[in-house]
Amino acid sequence: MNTLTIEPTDFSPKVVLDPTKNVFELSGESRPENTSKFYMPILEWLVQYQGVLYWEKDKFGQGALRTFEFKLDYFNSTSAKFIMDVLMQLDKMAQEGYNINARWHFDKRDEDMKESGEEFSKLLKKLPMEFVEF
Amino acid sequence: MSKVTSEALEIHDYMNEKNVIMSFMGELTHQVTTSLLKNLKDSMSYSNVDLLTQKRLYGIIVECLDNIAKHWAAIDIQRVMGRSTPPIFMLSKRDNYYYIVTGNHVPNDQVSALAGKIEMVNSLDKKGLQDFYRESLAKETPFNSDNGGLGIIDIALKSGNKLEYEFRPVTDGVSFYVVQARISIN
Repeated sequence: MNTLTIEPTDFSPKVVLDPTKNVFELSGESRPENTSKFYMPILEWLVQYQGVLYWEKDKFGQGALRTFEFKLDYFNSTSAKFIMDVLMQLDKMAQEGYNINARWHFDKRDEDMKESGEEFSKLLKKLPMEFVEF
Repeated sequence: MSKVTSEALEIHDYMNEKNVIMSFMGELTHQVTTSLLKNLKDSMSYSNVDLLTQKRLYGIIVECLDNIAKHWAAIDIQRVMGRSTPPIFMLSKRDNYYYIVTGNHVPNDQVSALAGKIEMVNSLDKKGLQDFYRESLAKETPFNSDNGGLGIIDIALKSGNKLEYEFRPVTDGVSFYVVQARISIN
């Protein structure tokens, strides 16, 4: 499966979804001009990746832990809905028994970023979400 | 002094007196918004305002600018008004508060919905706003709209103060809509 990499801009986050290195990361600022257009390839990639995990589990049994890192500095309210969608897709994968988790990074001075992560996690059924202060 | 000069001076003095840090009137494209925000970020990074307040102010401004850009795009107000009516954005600082004010024309048939939304968030405390935010987050499907209605809740949460607003009728069909958010400076 291909790696999805999106370079950051002043208004859109850096995205790395690299299944060969097991690096999955969303970082920076998110207020793209067209939010749906920005997040759609990410969501589509995750749906495809779920297929890869299915295949892997079928052939080799439960795979190694996949950790999705969220290192966001700022996101606007429109992005919030799409980040929720990303988390929902990961949650779906966790509910189907795949070995994945999420880590939500936040600056210790930024209690709002921590609280946003907590609000997201309240809507998840199975995906373990770890909070990482820096 | 020419008329133009005295007008410019008048505007300048007025803004100075009102402690305006930044103001913009014109079409708010994504590019314009980005450049305003970059400016703001740079000036904030040199200030002694704490990081949380800086980030909250930044977030409020993004949502306010997004909101007026959306209004601008969604309605054909120039046609109704028969002239160009660009929105206005203003950031000022006084009495230990930042004030964020936006103004734009809206069709009268949107007035009650907009007022209702603001009254709704103004009636909630922090916990109520967080619950409302979470409900909206879970409910909204982003695929059919770019506007979640989350924006106004987010502004209220970050501001920590009640929002103020006013609709001033301009023509039979159009009003000028002003919203003000404020945030205390720590």
